[in-house]
Amino acid sequence: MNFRKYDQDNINPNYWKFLNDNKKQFGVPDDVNYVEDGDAMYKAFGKDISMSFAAELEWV
Amino acid sequence: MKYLLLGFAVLTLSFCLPVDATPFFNSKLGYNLSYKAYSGYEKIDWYFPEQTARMYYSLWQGVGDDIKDKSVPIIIWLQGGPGAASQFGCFNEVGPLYIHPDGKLQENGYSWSNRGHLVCVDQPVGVGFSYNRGKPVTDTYEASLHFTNFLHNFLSEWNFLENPLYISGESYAGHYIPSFARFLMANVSLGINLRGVMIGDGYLDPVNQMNFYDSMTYTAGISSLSAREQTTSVQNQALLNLFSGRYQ
Repeated sequence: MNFRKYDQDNINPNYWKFLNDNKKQFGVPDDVNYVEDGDAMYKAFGKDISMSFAAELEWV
Repeated sequence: MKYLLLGFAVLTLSFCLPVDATPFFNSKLGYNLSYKAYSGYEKIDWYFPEQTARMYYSLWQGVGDDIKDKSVPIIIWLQGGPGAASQFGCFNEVGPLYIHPDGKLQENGYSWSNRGHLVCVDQPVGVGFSYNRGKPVTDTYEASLHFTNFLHNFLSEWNFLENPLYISGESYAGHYIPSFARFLMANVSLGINLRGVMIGDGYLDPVNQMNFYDSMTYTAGISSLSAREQTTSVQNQALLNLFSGRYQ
Protein backbone atom coordinates (compact mmCIF):
# COMPACT_ATOMS: atom_id res chain seq x y z
CA MET A 1 0.00 0.00 0.00
CA ASN A 2 1.46 3.33 -1.03
CA PHE A 3 0.37 5.20 2.07
CA ARG A 4 2.30 6.26 5.10
CA LYS A 5 0.53 5.55 8.37
CA TYR A 6 0.19 8.69 10.44
CA ASP A 7 -0.08 8.53 14.19
CA GLN A 8 1.19 10.39 17.19
CA ASP A 9 4.40 8.36 17.26
CA ASN A 10 5.40 9.87 13.90
CA ILE A 11 5.21 13.40 15.19
CA ASN A 12 8.19 15.09 16.75
CA PRO A 13 6.76 17.95 18.83
CA ASN A 14 10.24 19.40 19.26
CA TYR A 15 11.00 19.71 15.56
CA TRP A 16 10.98 23.49 15.92
CA LYS A 17 14.07 23.34 18.13
CA PHE A 18 16.05 21.96 15.21
CA LEU A 19 14.76 24.75 12.99
CA ASN A 20 15.61 27.44 15.53
CA ASP A 21 19.04 25.97 16.27
CA ASN A 22 19.86 25.99 12.56
CA LYS A 23 18.06 29.15 11.53
CA LYS A 24 21.20 30.71 10.13
CA GLN A 25 21.41 27.87 7.60
CA PHE A 26 17.84 28.66 6.55
CA GLY A 27 18.61 32.34 5.98
CA VAL A 28 16.50 33.48 8.94
CA PRO A 29 17.49 36.81 10.55
CA ASP A 30 18.97 36.66 14.06
CA ASP A 31 16.06 38.51 15.63
CA VAL A 32 13.40 36.15 14.21
CA ASN A 33 12.47 33.03 16.16
CA TYR A 34 10.19 30.24 15.07
CA VAL A 35 6.61 30.76 16.27
CA GLU A 36 4.92 27.40 16.16
CA ASP A 37 1.41 28.29 17.26
CA GLY A 38 -0.18 30.04 20.14
CA ASP A 39 -2.93 31.85 21.94
CA ALA A 40 -2.21 35.15 20.24
CA MET A 41 -3.16 33.90 16.79
CA TYR A 42 -6.27 32.09 18.08
CA LYS A 43 -7.40 35.26 19.77
CA ALA A 44 -6.64 37.40 16.73
CA PHE A 45 -8.63 35.02 14.51
CA GLY A 46 -11.52 34.82 17.00
CA LYS A 47 -14.41 35.68 14.70
CA ASP A 48 -12.87 33.98 11.68
CA ILE A 49 -12.77 30.63 13.49
CA SER A 50 -16.55 30.28 13.55
CA MET A 51 -17.00 31.28 9.90
CA SER A 52 -17.98 28.74 7.26
CA PHE A 53 -16.16 28.60 3.94
CA ALA A 54 -18.37 25.89 2.47
CA ALA A 55 -19.97 28.41 0.12
CA GLU A 56 -16.57 29.06 -1.49
CA LEU A 57 -16.48 25.53 -2.86
CA GLU A 58 -18.24 24.26 -5.92
CA TRP A 59 -19.34 20.65 -5.46
CA VAL A 60 -18.57 18.43 -8.43
CA MET B 1 39.62 29.77 -24.69
CA LYS B 2 37.49 32.91 -25.05
CA TYR B 3 34.50 30.81 -26.23
CA LEU B 4 34.95 28.34 -23.42
CA LEU B 5 34.84 31.12 -20.83
CA LEU B 6 31.77 32.66 -22.46
CA GLY B 7 30.00 29.29 -22.33
CA PHE B 8 30.81 28.92 -18.65
CA ALA B 9 29.41 32.40 -17.92
CA VAL B 10 26.14 31.59 -19.70
CA LEU B 11 25.78 28.35 -17.78
CA THR B 12 26.38 30.10 -14.48
CA LEU B 13 23.81 32.79 -15.16
CA SER B 14 21.14 30.48 -16.57
CA PHE B 15 19.78 29.79 -13.08
CA CYS B 16 20.08 32.51 -10.49
CA LEU B 17 18.66 32.20 -7.02
CA PRO B 18 16.08 34.83 -6.15
CA VAL B 19 17.17 37.44 -3.65
CA ASP B 20 16.82 36.11 -0.08
CA ALA B 21 16.79 32.45 -1.12
CA THR B 22 19.29 30.15 0.61
CA PRO B 23 20.27 26.65 -0.51
CA PHE B 24 20.24 24.36 2.51
CA PHE B 25 20.67 20.77 3.71
CA ASN B 26 24.22 20.83 2.64
CA SER B 27 27.00 19.45 4.77
CA LYS B 28 26.52 22.20 7.36
CA LEU B 29 23.27 20.56 8.50
CA GLY B 30 24.80 17.11 8.43
CA TYR B 31 22.67 15.79 5.61
CA ASN B 32 23.27 15.61 1.90
CA LEU B 33 20.20 15.43 -0.26
CA SER B 34 20.41 14.04 -3.75
CA TYR B 35 18.47 17.07 -4.96
CA LYS B 36 18.25 20.76 -4.12
CA ALA B 37 16.36 22.46 -1.32
CA TYR B 38 16.08 26.17 -0.61
CA SER B 39 14.53 28.47 1.90
CA GLY B 40 13.82 32.14 1.74
CA TYR B 41 11.68 35.14 2.34
CA GLU B 42 9.27 36.92 0.05
CA LYS B 43 8.18 40.50 0.34
CA ILE B 44 4.52 41.27 0.94
CA ASP B 45 5.16 44.63 -0.61
CA TRP B 46 1.61 45.45 -1.72
CA TYR B 47 0.65 45.72 1.94
CA PHE B 48 3.97 46.16 3.78
CA PRO B 49 6.05 48.47 1.56
CA GLU B 50 8.48 49.06 4.43
CA GLN B 51 9.01 45.29 4.71
CA THR B 52 7.78 45.15 8.30
CA ALA B 53 6.37 41.72 7.40
CA ARG B 54 7.81 38.98 5.18
CA MET B 55 6.71 35.44 4.42
CA TYR B 56 9.06 32.47 4.82
CA TYR B 57 9.06 29.35 2.64
CA SER B 58 11.04 26.19 2.09
CA LEU B 59 11.26 24.87 -1.47
CA TRP B 60 12.09 21.22 -2.10
CA GLN B 61 13.00 20.57 -5.71
CA GLY B 62 11.01 17.71 -7.20
CA VAL B 63 12.96 14.45 -7.18
CA GLY B 64 14.39 13.97 -10.66
CA ASP B 65 12.83 17.23 -11.85
CA ASP B 66 14.58 20.12 -13.54
CA ILE B 67 13.96 23.41 -11.74
CA LYS B 68 13.51 25.08 -15.15
CA ASP B 69 10.95 22.58 -16.48
CA LYS B 70 7.61 24.41 -16.84
CA SER B 71 5.59 21.21 -16.75
CA VAL B 72 6.63 20.27 -13.19
CA PRO B 73 3.79 20.92 -10.72
CA ILE B 74 4.30 23.40 -7.89
CA ILE B 75 2.69 21.94 -4.76
CA ILE B 76 2.07 24.45 -2.00
CA TRP B 77 1.63 23.02 1.51
CA LEU B 78 -0.25 24.99 4.16
CA GLN B 79 -0.72 24.08 7.80
CA GLY B 80 -3.85 24.94 9.76
CA GLY B 81 -4.17 26.44 13.20
CA PRO B 82 -4.91 29.28 12.64
CA GLY B 83 -1.32 30.08 13.24
CA ALA B 84 0.25 26.65 12.77
CA ALA B 85 3.43 26.97 10.76
CA SER B 86 3.72 24.90 7.59
CA GLN B 87 7.24 23.76 8.45
CA PHE B 88 5.48 21.45 10.93
CA GLY B 89 3.86 19.46 8.13
CA CYS B 90 6.98 19.83 6.05
CA PHE B 91 9.20 18.10 8.62
CA ASN B 92 6.59 15.75 10.12
CA GLU B 93 4.20 14.84 7.31
CA VAL B 94 4.62 15.67 3.62
CA GLY B 95 8.24 16.78 3.25
CA PRO B 96 11.23 14.64 2.30
CA LEU B 97 12.91 14.78 5.73
CA TYR B 98 11.81 14.03 9.28
CA ILE B 99 13.53 15.56 12.25
CA HIS B 100 13.96 12.99 15.00
CA PRO B 101 13.84 14.10 18.64
CA ASP B 102 17.61 13.54 18.83
CA GLY B 103 18.04 16.09 16.01
CA LYS B 104 18.96 13.53 13.35
CA LEU B 105 17.33 13.64 9.94
CA GLN B 106 15.70 10.75 8.12
CA GLU B 107 14.34 10.60 4.58
CA ASN B 108 10.61 10.17 3.96
CA GLY B 109 10.03 7.90 0.98
CA TYR B 110 6.49 9.25 0.64
CA SER B 111 7.47 12.89 0.27
CA TRP B 112 5.26 14.96 -1.97
CA SER B 113 8.40 16.26 -3.60
CA ASN B 114 8.30 12.95 -5.49
CA ARG B 115 5.44 14.54 -7.44
CA GLY B 116 6.72 18.05 -8.06
CA HIS B 117 8.42 21.01 -6.39
CA LEU B 118 7.09 21.17 -2.82
CA VAL B 119 6.77 24.61 -1.24
CA CYS B 120 5.91 24.89 2.47
CA VAL B 121 4.82 28.42 3.35
CA ASP B 122 4.63 29.75 6.91
CA GLN B 123 1.52 31.91 6.77
CA PRO B 124 -0.14 34.14 7.83
CA VAL B 125 2.72 36.49 8.60
CA GLY B 126 3.61 36.15 12.27
CA VAL B 127 3.82 32.33 12.38
CA GLY B 128 6.80 30.05 11.94
CA PHE B 129 9.72 31.99 10.53
CA SER B 130 7.43 34.50 8.79
CA TYR B 131 7.46 37.71 10.72
CA ASN B 132 5.18 40.66 11.20
CA ARG B 133 6.32 43.68 13.15
CA GLY B 134 2.91 45.36 12.88
CA LYS B 135 -0.55 44.44 14.08
CA PRO B 136 -1.50 40.77 13.78
CA VAL B 137 -3.51 39.35 10.90
CA THR B 138 -7.06 38.77 12.09
CA ASP B 139 -8.91 36.82 9.42
CA THR B 140 -8.81 34.65 6.32
CA TYR B 141 -9.62 37.60 4.07
CA GLU B 142 -6.52 39.50 5.17
CA ALA B 143 -4.45 36.31 4.96
CA SER B 144 -5.73 35.86 1.39
CA LEU B 145 -4.50 39.30 0.37
CA HIS B 146 -1.05 38.59 1.79
CA PHE B 147 -0.84 35.09 0.35
CA THR B 148 -1.78 36.29 -3.14
CA ASN B 149 0.99 38.88 -2.87
CA PHE B 150 3.43 36.21 -1.67
CA LEU B 151 2.49 33.82 -4.45
CA HIS B 152 2.85 36.41 -7.17
CA ASN B 153 6.31 37.41 -5.94
CA PHE B 154 7.46 33.85 -5.31
CA LEU B 155 6.31 32.41 -8.64
CA SER B 156 7.70 35.39 -10.56
CA GLU B 157 11.11 35.28 -8.87
CA TRP B 158 11.50 31.54 -9.34
CA ASN B 159 10.12 31.73 -12.88
CA PHE B 160 7.32 29.30 -11.94
CA LEU B 161 4.33 31.33 -13.24
CA GLU B 162 3.67 28.89 -16.06
CA ASN B 163 4.02 25.73 -13.95
CA PRO B 164 0.76 24.07 -12.91
CA LEU B 165 0.02 25.14 -9.35
CA TYR B 166 -1.72 23.06 -6.68
CA ILE B 167 -2.51 24.44 -3.22
CA SER B 168 -2.81 21.84 -0.48
CA GLY B 169 -3.17 21.80 3.26
CA GLU B 170 -4.96 20.47 6.27
CA SER B 171 -7.21 21.49 9.13
CA TYR B 172 -7.60 25.29 9.25
CA ALA B 173 -6.24 25.37 5.70
CA GLY B 174 -9.85 24.36 4.96
CA HIS B 175 -10.54 28.02 5.73
CA TYR B 176 -7.54 29.39 3.87
CA ILE B 177 -7.46 27.38 0.66
CA PRO B 178 -10.98 28.01 -0.72
CA SER B 179 -10.49 31.72 -0.08
CA PHE B 180 -6.99 31.79 -1.60
CA ALA B 181 -8.22 29.92 -4.67
CA ARG B 182 -11.11 32.33 -5.09
CA PHE B 183 -8.70 35.29 -4.93
CA LEU B 184 -6.48 33.75 -7.60
CA MET B 185 -9.43 32.92 -9.84
CA ALA B 186 -10.68 36.48 -9.49
CA ASN B 187 -7.24 37.85 -10.43
CA VAL B 188 -6.31 35.90 -13.55
CA SER B 189 -4.32 38.90 -14.77
CA LEU B 190 -1.63 37.85 -12.27
CA GLY B 191 -0.91 34.98 -14.65
CA ILE B 192 -0.87 32.28 -11.96
CA ASN B 193 -1.63 28.86 -13.38
CA LEU B 194 -3.82 27.46 -10.57
CA ARG B 195 -4.87 23.94 -11.51
CA GLY B 196 -6.30 22.50 -8.32
CA VAL B 197 -6.56 22.44 -4.55
CA MET B 198 -6.31 19.60 -2.03
CA ILE B 199 -7.73 19.84 1.50
CA GLY B 200 -7.29 17.16 4.16
CA ASP B 201 -9.46 17.11 7.31
CA GLY B 202 -10.47 20.66 6.42
CA TYR B 203 -11.95 22.97 9.02
CA LEU B 204 -14.32 24.26 6.39
CA ASP B 205 -17.66 24.67 8.10
CA PRO B 206 -16.98 24.60 11.87
CA VAL B 207 -20.48 24.65 13.30
CA ASN B 208 -21.93 22.03 10.97
CA GLN B 209 -18.83 19.83 11.08
CA MET B 210 -18.60 19.89 14.86
CA ASN B 211 -22.26 19.12 15.30
CA PHE B 212 -22.18 15.80 13.48
CA TYR B 213 -19.04 13.93 14.51
CA ASP B 214 -21.13 11.80 16.90
CA SER B 215 -23.72 10.60 14.39
CA MET B 216 -21.22 10.39 11.52
CA THR B 217 -18.83 8.07 13.36
CA TYR B 218 -21.68 6.04 14.86
CA THR B 219 -23.54 5.47 11.58
CA ALA B 220 -20.24 4.63 9.87
CA GLY B 221 -19.79 1.90 12.48
CA ILE B 222 -16.52 3.21 13.85
CA SER B 223 -17.80 4.22 17.30
CA SER B 224 -19.91 2.45 19.91
CA LEU B 225 -23.05 3.89 21.49
CA SER B 226 -21.12 4.94 24.61
CA ALA B 227 -18.38 6.50 22.47
CA ARG B 228 -21.08 8.34 20.57
CA GLU B 229 -22.48 9.77 23.79
CA GLN B 230 -19.00 10.84 24.83
CA THR B 231 -18.46 12.49 21.45
CA THR B 232 -21.79 14.31 21.74
CA SER B 233 -20.72 15.73 25.07
CA VAL B 234 -17.32 16.87 23.71
CA GLN B 235 -18.75 18.42 20.57
CA ASN B 236 -21.42 20.26 22.56
CA GLN B 237 -18.68 21.71 24.76
CA ALA B 238 -16.68 22.65 21.65
CA LEU B 239 -19.68 24.48 20.18
CA LEU B 240 -20.29 26.19 23.49
CA ASN B 241 -16.67 27.35 23.54
CA LEU B 242 -16.95 28.53 19.96
CA PHE B 243 -20.04 30.62 20.65
CA SER B 244 -18.53 31.97 23.88
CA GLY B 245 -15.32 33.12 22.18
CA ARG B 246 -13.05 30.49 23.81
CA TYR B 247 -11.20 29.54 20.66
CA GLN B 248 -7.96 27.87 21.78
